[in-house]
Order: sequence, then structure tokens, then C-alpha cells
Amino acid sequence: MCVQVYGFGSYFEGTKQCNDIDLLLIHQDTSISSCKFVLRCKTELVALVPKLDISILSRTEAESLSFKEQAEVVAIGNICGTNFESDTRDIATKVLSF
Amino acid sequence: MPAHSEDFPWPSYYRNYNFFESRMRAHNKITDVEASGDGFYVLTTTAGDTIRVFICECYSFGVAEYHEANEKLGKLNAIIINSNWCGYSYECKKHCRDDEVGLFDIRDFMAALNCDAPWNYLNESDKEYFQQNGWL
Repeated sequence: MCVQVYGFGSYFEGTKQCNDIDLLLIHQDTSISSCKFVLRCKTELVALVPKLDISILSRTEAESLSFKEQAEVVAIGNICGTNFESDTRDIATKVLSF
Repeated sequence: MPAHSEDFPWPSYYRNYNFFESRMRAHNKITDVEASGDGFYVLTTTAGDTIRVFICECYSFGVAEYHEANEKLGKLNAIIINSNWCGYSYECKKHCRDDEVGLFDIRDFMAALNCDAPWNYLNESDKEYFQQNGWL
């Protein structure tokens, strides 16, 4: 099971002083297992990166809302269950060095 | 932008709580508005029922966040997305409705309170999407 991580908003547009860092997590579907996994990703990322504001949608939810297109998101990477710790650390590093 | 909070990532700004409270106190079906903090309210209706409400701001409230809200706050009766720049997914609306939980913006919640089963209330956009997807 994997979650796709995207950035959007002023932080990723290069604004120097931002109140928060907006991330979008897109997970597989709206099943309980998929929701639990993406919430675990959220908890871990919030612990690693300060001032995160995380939106979460399943693939179909994101598609029906055209969220990625409207928010002009930037792809950051994936968090997969098999490499959970290293994937979340990599994402945190990429976000903080953006 | 949504207010950032370490403990609860998507509560609404206090001024929107004030707006929500004023609208609820003016509603003819509501007799009491009790604030429990962090956007959580217990409303009492003229019929004597209580409605557990969570007010939040997030760009797009989805099914996972619905589970998160339930986990943090217990069983809710209504979730209000209280910002013009925020919304919810139709999938989440259906998911909540199936659980007899209302998912609304504040205007729709005002209208839903006039219904016997508020969680069932759909605005025109909801109805159109639900019909297109065979959910009605």
C-alpha cells in the first residue's frame, strides 16, 4: 500500500514567509485499511515537519474534485508500507529542503 | 488558509466559530448552543434532541478525515465545513450520509436543521452528483 505525497500553496511557490506548509496525501481508496494507513502517514509527517497542513483524499476523491489540477500541486514522492520509516524521512527531507 | 494547530490540524478560525454560533442562536429549531472547544459543539433542538457538531476548515474534507474526526471526537451528528475556500468530496458526503451524519457547509446546515433527518439533506449540486452516480 502506497500514498502519494504532493505539495501545494505558497511554500512550494517560493514564498519566503509562510504560515504553513500545505501537503496533499492521495491514498488508494476509501476502505478502512487505506484510511488508517494514510492517517499513519499524516501522523508521522506532522511529527517530522513543523507547521504542516495536510489534506487527504483517496484517488477517486481527488479525481472527482480535480484537486491536483486546481491546486497546481508539486509531486514530492511516495510513502509505501514496506519502507514506511525511510519513505517518511525522505519526504520530510525533501519538503524541508524545498 | 486553514488555521494550523499541532493538536488538531483543521479547526476553524475563532471568528468563524462566532459566525457559526450567531447563526445557530438565530435558528428557530435550536434552543441551546454549547461550545466544548476546538470547534466541537453540542446543539439542542426544539424537539429536545442533541446534535454533536464539529466545525472545521480544510481544503477538501475526505473519507479519511471523517474517520480521523470520529476517532478524535467520538460519534458526530454533523460536520460543518466552515469556509468559502474549503469543501468536501461527494464520496465523503455519501459515506457520512450512510452513517446518518450530515456533512454540510453552514448554509446547507441551516436548511438541513429544518428536516426530520438532517443528515439526508442534499443541495442541488449534491443531488446532481448523487443522481449521476446512482446513489439516489
